[in-house]
Amino acid sequence: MDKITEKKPGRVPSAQLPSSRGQGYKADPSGDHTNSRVIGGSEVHKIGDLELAAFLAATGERLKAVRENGSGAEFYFSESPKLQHTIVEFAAGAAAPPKALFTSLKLMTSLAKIAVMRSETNPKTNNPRRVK
Amino acid sequence: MKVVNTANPGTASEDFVTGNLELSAFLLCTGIRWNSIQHVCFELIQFRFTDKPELRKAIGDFERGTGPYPPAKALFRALRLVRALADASNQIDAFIKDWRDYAGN
Repeated sequence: MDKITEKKPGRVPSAQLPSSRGQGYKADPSGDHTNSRVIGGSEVHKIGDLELAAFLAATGERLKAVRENGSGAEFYFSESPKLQHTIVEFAAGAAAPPKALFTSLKLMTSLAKIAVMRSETNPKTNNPRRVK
Repeated sequence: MKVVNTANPGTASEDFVTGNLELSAFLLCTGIRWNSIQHVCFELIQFRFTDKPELRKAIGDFERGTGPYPPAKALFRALRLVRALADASNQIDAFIKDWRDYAGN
């Protein structure tokens, strides 16, 4: 199991957003993204929203890991400027093939259930619900 | 998927019936509204649409992945709505069955 570590501020460049879609979005100039982590030496972006995760997977973003977080699951995607762009595009109303979206949603749901089941059956797994 | 004659007497149009919630959500997003929701048996819900060329085109677009796609957020929202309706329809049927059992009908 790859170790997840908090990313230090300044390691990820500011989000590269297109001027037409990025209006209203303020990237942190210090480059500190609270959703950024490091898994197995590569930077990843944490996504807590199942539907956004399904959209990212359907549009070709690389899923690195799925973890249980106490109330559901977190999806970790490889960090890249394209990922930031795709997230903003989703919020702005981007479209994708419907069948691919629904298939991806079912896959993400299954992965989330597996992550929750694994955390409940394996006491060694990092499970915030067990922490007292 | 199949096309059947409508069960409602007095209506001349044919209906398209499907139990595919994802297709139903897509059709809703493309502006096609269903006529009714029918509870068939345990957790099997069918949506009934009036059969017309726009419906056929939308179904073809869904199956082939062609045409302008609805926004992803709208699709997911429609799917949540359709699932909620299916669940509500299922529960209503359970209430009616319970009442009939209670009343002895």
